[in-house]
Amino acid sequence: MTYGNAFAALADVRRREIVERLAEQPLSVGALATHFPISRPAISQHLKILSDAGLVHVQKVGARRIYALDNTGIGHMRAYLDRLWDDALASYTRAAHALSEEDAS
Amino acid sequence: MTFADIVKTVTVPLDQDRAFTLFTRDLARWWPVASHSISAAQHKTPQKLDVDAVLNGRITETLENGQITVWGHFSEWSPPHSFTLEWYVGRDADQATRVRVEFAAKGEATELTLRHDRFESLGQDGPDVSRSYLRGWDTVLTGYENLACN
Repeated sequence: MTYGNAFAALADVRRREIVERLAEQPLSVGALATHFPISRPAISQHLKILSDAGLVHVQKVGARRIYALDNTGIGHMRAYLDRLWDDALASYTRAAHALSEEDAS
Repeated sequence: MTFADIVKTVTVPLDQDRAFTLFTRDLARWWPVASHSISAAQHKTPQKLDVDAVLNGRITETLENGQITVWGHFSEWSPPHSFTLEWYVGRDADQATRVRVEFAAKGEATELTLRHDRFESLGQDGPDVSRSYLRGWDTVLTGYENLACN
């Protein structure tokens, strides 16, 4: 399960900024570097964490590696939260029914 | 790139006032703490959940060791029609996500609509919302891996 990894990956401000850049268009490490005051190795490290979490993937275009957003990780996050609210609201509904039946008796 | 909001609707056999009160003041009566809480993420049981059911009131979880953690606070409070929760679960209040619930009378029943706003479009509308939303959840969900797999 990668839900926790995706959230942990996005807990870092710089990684969220990288994700936001990639949301605009796929970019190489070099192109990303022009937007941030950190080194290319630092960006590569962030991209590796994002990639492991299923949030970005890389394509080789000739000799270049182009990074793009991967919907899978974000999809997992949304699916988890979706389920959390299903669980919570199901529990609320059961409590509401129980409360309603208390009145009827 | 867009991701749809999480929107949930349920109808309960209670009038608006009671539906609203059950959800807010009486949250601890029904919230599934065994699976969805900071304690659960640590494989523990919370001592209690407390809700201060007023504007700016907080929802807090008291952990097994007595530590009090804040889930969020009510930034909008309009009983029995709606409320909005700033939801940061142990983080800073300025790193919150938002949960809004509306209560609509349907005869003797009440229909609830819950909206948990996702980042509409990363890097476009509300990047601050997307950042705070994600940070608001990471504390809780980092530990949810094992639980989420069940």
